[in-house]
Amino acid sequence: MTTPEQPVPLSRIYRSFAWVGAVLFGGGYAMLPLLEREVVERRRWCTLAEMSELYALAQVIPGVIAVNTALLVGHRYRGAAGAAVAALGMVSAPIVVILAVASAFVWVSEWPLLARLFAGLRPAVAGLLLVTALRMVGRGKHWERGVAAGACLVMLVGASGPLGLILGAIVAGLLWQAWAVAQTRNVGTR
Amino acid sequence: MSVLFQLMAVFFKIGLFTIGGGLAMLPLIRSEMLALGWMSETEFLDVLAVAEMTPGPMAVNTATFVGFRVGGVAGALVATLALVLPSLLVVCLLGAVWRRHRNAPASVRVLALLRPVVAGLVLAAALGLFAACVLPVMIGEGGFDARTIDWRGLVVFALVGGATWRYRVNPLLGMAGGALVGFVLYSF
Repeated sequence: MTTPEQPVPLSRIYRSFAWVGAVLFGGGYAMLPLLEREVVERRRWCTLAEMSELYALAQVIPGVIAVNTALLVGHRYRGAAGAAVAALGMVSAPIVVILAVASAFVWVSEWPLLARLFAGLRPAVAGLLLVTALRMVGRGKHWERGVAAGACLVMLVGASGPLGLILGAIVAGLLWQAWAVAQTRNVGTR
Repeated sequence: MSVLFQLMAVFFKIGLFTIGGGLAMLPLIRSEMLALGWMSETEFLDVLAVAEMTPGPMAVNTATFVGFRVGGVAGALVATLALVLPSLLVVCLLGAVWRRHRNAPASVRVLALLRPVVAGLVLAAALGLFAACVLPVMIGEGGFDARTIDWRGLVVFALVGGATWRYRVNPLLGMAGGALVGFVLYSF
């Protein structure tokens, strides 16, 4: 991983994640197109591949995945302070919006007008997410596309959740390393 | 024990012991609220409806709103920060270790496998979301019925997906545009 030559300012980390938190609707995965835009394309803090590494790690840490991803990106560039600032950014919009409108929202949420607005938001997020997924898969080598297709299939048939797959990949990676070490030892003794 | 301290304890516990994301937290928050007598079932459903419609991660919104209902503005702040604090501690503890071993051969191999697995996970999430808002329930009486496809959702999906793929539009613009097109379509 490359570290930027200039340290990323904490205020910039805060503002980037406040933006992501403010326009995020849906689960943690809905954050990925936003994160790709802000962190990969606009700020160039990391590549799409590094972003998916951090997103994978975010799944095996306790807590909310979107917040964990923010914490990991923040920690990657500015240590503990960066992590804290990124998480604060992520929860800023929820706090402000809910404190401002929560009480009114309970009856507003019954409005058919609002329901119609949200009806279009869901397929829009699905479209955004599919494009991010295709970019992630498309940049891989042949075997990587195969692994991605396999993981996707396992998820779709419901054989495993994301956590199980990621833990499985970690175990498989460690076994791969152990096998590689054993191979070089064999070559060395011959 | 003051309500604020209780809120802090409850949400710290939930933040520490849920692995697998915010959606796994919602049942825990629900049972805690019912057990403590802080909320009724219907009140909690109201909270979920609002949490889904406000920006931000859903579990964070739920914690903020529950905290607000139970302990006012201070309650909202305490519940939200307590939910996030365990993750912050874990990231700071493991982050230093991870930084040291990021380029170790074992880490490189694990990451080489993790990247395509995550790509597959995201692809599955996208397809699942697509199916949930565009396709009808396919397995059931009479099987697949093309007439039950939500063509409005399909139009929004295709427009936003196509524009993002081809022109790399800002995702915010994609979401706003999709919501507006959907609003017009769903009005008919």
